[in-house]
Amino acid sequence: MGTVYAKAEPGESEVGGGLFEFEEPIELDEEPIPKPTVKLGGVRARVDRVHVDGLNRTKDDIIKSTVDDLFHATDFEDVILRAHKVRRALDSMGCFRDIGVYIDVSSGPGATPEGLEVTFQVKELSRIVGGVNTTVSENEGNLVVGVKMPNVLGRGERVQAEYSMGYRSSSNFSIAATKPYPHKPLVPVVSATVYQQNHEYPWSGYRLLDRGLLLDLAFRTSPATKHNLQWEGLVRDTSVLSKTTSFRVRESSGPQMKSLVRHIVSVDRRDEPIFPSRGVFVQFSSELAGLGGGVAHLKTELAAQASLPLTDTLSVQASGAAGVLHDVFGSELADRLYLGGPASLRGFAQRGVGPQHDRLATGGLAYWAAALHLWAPLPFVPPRAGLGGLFRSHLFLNAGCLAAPEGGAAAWQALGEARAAAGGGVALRLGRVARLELNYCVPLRALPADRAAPGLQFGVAAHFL
Amino acid sequence: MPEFQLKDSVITSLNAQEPWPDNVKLFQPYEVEQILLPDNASCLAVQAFLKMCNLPFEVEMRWNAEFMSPSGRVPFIKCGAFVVSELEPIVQFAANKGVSLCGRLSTEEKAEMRAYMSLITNVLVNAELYISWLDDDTYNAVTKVRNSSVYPWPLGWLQTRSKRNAVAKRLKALHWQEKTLEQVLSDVEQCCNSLSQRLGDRDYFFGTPTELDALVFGHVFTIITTRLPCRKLAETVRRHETLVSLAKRIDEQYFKRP
Amino acid sequence: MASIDLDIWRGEWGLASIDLECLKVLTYMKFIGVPVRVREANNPYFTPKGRLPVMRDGRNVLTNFEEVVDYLKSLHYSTDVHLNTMQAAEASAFTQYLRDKLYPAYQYTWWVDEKNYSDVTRPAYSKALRIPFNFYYPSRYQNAAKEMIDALYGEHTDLREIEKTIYSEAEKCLKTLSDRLGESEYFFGNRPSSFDAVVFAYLAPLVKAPFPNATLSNQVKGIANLSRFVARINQKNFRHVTDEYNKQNAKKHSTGTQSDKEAANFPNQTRNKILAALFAAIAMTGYAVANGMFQRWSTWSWQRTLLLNRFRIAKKQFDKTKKLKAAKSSDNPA
Repeated sequence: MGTVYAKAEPGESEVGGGLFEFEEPIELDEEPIPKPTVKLGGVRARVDRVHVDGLNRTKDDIIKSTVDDLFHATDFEDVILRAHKVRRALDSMGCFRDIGVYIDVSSGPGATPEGLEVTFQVKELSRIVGGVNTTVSENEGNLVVGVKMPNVLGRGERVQAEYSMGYRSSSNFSIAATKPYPHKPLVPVVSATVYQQNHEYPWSGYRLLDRGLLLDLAFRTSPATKHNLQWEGLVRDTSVLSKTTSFRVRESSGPQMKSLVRHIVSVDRRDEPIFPSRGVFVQFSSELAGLGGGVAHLKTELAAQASLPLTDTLSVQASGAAGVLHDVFGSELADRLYLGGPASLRGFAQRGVGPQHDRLATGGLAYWAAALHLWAPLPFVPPRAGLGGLFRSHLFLNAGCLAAPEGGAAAWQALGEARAAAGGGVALRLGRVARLELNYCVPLRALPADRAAPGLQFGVAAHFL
Repeated sequence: MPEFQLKDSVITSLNAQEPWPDNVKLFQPYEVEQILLPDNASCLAVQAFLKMCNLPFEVEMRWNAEFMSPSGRVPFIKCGAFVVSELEPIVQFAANKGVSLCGRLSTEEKAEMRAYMSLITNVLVNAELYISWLDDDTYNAVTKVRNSSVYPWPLGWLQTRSKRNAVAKRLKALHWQEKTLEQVLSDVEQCCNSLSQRLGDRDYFFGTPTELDALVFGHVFTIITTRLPCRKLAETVRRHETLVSLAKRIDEQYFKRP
Repeated sequence: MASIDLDIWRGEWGLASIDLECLKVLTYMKFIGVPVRVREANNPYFTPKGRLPVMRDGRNVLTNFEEVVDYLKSLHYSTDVHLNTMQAAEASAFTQYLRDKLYPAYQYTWWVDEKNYSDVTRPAYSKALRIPFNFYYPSRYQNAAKEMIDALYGEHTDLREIEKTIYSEAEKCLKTLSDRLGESEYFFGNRPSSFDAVVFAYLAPLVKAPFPNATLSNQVKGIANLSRFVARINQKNFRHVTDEYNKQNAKKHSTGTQSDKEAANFPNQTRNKILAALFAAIAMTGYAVANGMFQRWSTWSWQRTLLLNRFRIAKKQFDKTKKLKAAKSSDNPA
């Protein structure tokens, strides 16, 4: 009795494994705090002392301010809850693995009668973590080398670098440095990234080589509201994929420089990001390009999602998305908006909706999309435990439209030509940041120019419509 | 290889059905502020060839013509769904449409013509590249300014630097990078000698205009009319009066607006 | 003058040399009949440019064909005196034409095509070189050839597409060459010129070397007058080389042919095996580290310590609460 421990299950907070495909520090599961069999609420308690064992290069001040919260506890249950919170805070710093919490009665000089001692047993991550990986995509194999230095300066700063090398002179790399300020107001996190990325867009017939610098300031105005303020400067090299690519795509090739500021605000009140059963999520991003460089435009996009549980296991979800691009000068295919594909408008090929040129998507200036889902656990499997927790099945109906309107009444008319598809399938959770969907889709309404994709459709993404 | 021939002949028969359309466009960089000596020479050569063939075309200038081109080099023409770049493929393309300037040449003469065209692309083009990109005076005063004129800062600087590296790599692969300016000029001298020997006192290399004349015109005319800090290249070429007068003759005949 | 030295790559398959430049110089010297001492070099490390051939005449050191031709001309040795100015111009134009159209294909066949390189080119050069130079020079030459192809045809273009372009251009070039030659014995008149040496040096290795991917070789062999041209010059100038090769070949047939090829391959194979093993070891260790295999080991002992601790603390806490309760109950009645 009386002793509480909270212990990460082995492997869960393991940061060194894999190649940090998932950027965010992996959060712990909402593990239930062991319900005490004896009511502890009435037992008065105060924390006399807090020990943190296993610190090596992490600075004291940052730990002190993190555990400060514990001293305000008044009864025993409070101590347990706060200790749990502090443990999560320590974990989210991304500097430790295997954090253990021990609560003991205090003894020795200065001990008060109801005094307790809280001990955190932590283990710092090694100074440098590395990995080598190979990936094989459609066209070529890649060798990926990653290095991560958690907690470089002792206050949760991170540097991570990744380099991937392809067969013929196509290489990607990124170097990111992050510094959190966990105890400043609004909990800001500052980061800077230098990158070079190759992307191929066979649906539009072009290839991009982006080289750039991204500065990001993330902060929270409330626990659920997150802001990102970004500046990005990049040089992008567009080239066509083949000799027979449409001339419209060919016209947009060549190097361009783009400098932009972006603001993203998201409010997340869902109970769970991948398979939410209740709550609302809204994200609004606006992008202003043209502070120097050869591209100027204003782009705004909105995504929203609301879920409501019907029964214990069934839930209904409605989601919507919309975006507008206002071009001032120089905006090319890569800047435009696209719609269609397994993660956006299901039942259509990737970028399969809207303006086309020789069967290559050339993008639009405005879009909207909406979807209605009915989520249920996988039949015949217990919904929460093991395998059942990884899978969900759903039925969906989605509709949307992408257009490049001229303005005025024509714009509304162009945006009224909705495309729709319905279907159902299963989804699999991949970690805590992405999911995989396999759906059978039936396009209900499509224009002749669209590339509908009836039948099975498969997609992996962090965010689905 | 039989498969190549088969494919070539399929394309030939497809093209031959359609005559030369009216809306052919020739894409090239901006003439006044952007284009560089080697590109200008090739663009002029293609224009001269099309004018010699009496094929209608329209010149369209784009800042990114070089990147739009399927081979990465200018000029290129857009003819219906076909995009063809550089002189030799364009000549081939026109021939497939039934337009050719060397129809009455014997096979030996044709062989000779191809050899002289290679002589120009190997010597004059590389010399132009050498002067534009590796001669410091010309690079700083002309090439750098013109090449970066269409880009915002600092992209212009980056782009010019990366292009200079690419050109240096090309010249290195062809063993031109290690040459001194004097060696380059002596190569040019030798090339011009061979050309003027072949031309003799005729009006055109093979009596009537051919693509070889167009190519010689493009390069000689551009070299003698472009002002560069390094005048030695122009001086070397100008010493060959028969070539200069050939260039002037073609300019008079095909490019002077009435 | 009496002592011109020429260092070249050794021959193979009945060729006087396996290398294009060496063969040009060698053929040219045969044409003019200048006395020369030929030496098969086993490393090009001490040459001025790291390449062969090297011609030495007293203090003059020459490293390429054009220089050799000019130098011999200054000594009044030349094959090109019978050419008039028009023909001389044509010869220089055709030389550039080969350089422009056939040279990329030649280099592609020899160095860029991986199968040809590993089956024919590398063994041939390794055989000519001495340890440790055979580890270095073939890959250096291969890189140079690849860089040339990249520079000429674009780095990002698909290699198969480049191959197609190069070979179709080369085919056209060979056809042109064949048209120009016609039924003559040599390209200019009935006496050999420097241009004939150049053409022979391009074509002979393609005809003789046993390439697995023989697109270009087949193109040459398919053109009758060019094959006859090669055979003719070979017969007249390099008869002894071919005869010796045939003799050896016949002898080897009776003793077993494989050993020779294996010997040439062997050092590379050992090196490759060692490198592969080393690489595998590094990769596996890296993988193990990445997956936290070592971490788990340490975690395990750590967990045990924690578990023991927990029992200890639980016991202490229990004792204390018991003591407190006892104290309370003893207070209350009082």
